[in-house]
Amino acid sequence: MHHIGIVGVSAEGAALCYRTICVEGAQYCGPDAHPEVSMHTFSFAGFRRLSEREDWSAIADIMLISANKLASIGASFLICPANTPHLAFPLLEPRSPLPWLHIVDVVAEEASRRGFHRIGILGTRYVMDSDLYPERLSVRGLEALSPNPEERAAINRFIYDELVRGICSPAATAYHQQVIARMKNDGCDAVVLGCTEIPLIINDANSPLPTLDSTRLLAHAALRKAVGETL
Amino acid sequence: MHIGIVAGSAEGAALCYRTIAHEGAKHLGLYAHPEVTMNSIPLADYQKHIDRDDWPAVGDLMLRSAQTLAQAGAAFLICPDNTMHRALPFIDSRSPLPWLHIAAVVAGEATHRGFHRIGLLGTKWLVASEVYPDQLTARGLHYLRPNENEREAINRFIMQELVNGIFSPAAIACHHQVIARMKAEGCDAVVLGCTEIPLIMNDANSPLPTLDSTRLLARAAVLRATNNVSS
Repeated sequence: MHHIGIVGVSAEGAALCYRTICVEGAQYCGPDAHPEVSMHTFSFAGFRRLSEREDWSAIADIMLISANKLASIGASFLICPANTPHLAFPLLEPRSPLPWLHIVDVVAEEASRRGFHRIGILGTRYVMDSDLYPERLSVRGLEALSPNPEERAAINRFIYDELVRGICSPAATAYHQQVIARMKNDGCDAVVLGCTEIPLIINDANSPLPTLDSTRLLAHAALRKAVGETL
Repeated sequence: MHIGIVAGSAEGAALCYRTIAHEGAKHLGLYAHPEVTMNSIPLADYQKHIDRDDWPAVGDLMLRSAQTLAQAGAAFLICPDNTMHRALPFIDSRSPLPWLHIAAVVAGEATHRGFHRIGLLGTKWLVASEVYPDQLTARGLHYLRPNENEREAINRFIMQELVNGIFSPAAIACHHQVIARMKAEGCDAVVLGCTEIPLIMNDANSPLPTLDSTRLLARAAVLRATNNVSS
């Protein structure tokens, strides 16, 4: 069984992904069993400052240090349970000592497998403003719908002011539900929880649309890879 | 300073890791926290030895994690798993890094808050051990262990529910009843000496003030890492 390396960025999403790997690892490995996991996390403050400047090159440099540490202690592949840092992947992957599972590929693959067509994208403003999801969905013939500018600003605020700080307010849940309902009216048949903290407040039980939970999907993809399934 | 986490059960490790990230902000500013690396060997590997009361073998696994974390650059170690502290005496002399002992941290807090007689809750392997009695007695504090029936009931809830992320009303009721009995017998505080118990018990629903071992350990680790105080 392969050793999973987690490059932690925001702790809430990283903790959720790590727990999912360990608790649900039993489905692949037997009772209480899971692959060995190592997680390295630099202070989120640095990532936050660099994201604000959209300095993806500096973010790639920091993630590369994490990647090298995880490689040095025996990890055999890497995941980053945070969507925004994936904007740095084109600058990171060519220099990385280990292969990565790309969170957006994992989500897009699942969207395609489940037969969805038009998918709403929720995440930080960096993710929602970017081609990260639209590009990977469109190569699979799927369409992406981003929230409107006002919705993006509000969601981004909930993520950084509350969710990454471990705060889950009813107002945040209600607002995300409202945006998802609007996307449903506009023809979406699924929604990507494209920030690993959004699953703290939104899930299939309270969402107007079926959810594609990037945290959980990445955890399961990592488990399948660790036990040797071809992805 | 870089904190190394030797993970036991994933729920407790995730809680400790998240707490470190959030506590860090109090000392270092918004979104900031010390660098953290966590290594997680499957609980199933530990449990095999714990079931046989083979603490030297448990220690060997912890030592393997300790060496992994030293290699990643950690400056000191914590284990957010109370039961596994039974194995620490077997590896203390061989450990590549110093440890912050969870019971020493909790006993320090109990002294600081002026408690005298502390009820012990945790797995049956923990409450039968000297992990807490040694540290409490050294500070002139008294303690009370659960009786045989209580130990078995609590252990069952921990091992069958809490470590699997299941939080039932029956588990809360059982813990509540044991704490009330300890209060009737003169305890003035209770140690939540299993990293999972705080997932269901807290100061709001406990008949006695709680000493939450996981959160106290996380706070002590942040203080040590930021060089304020080392407990």
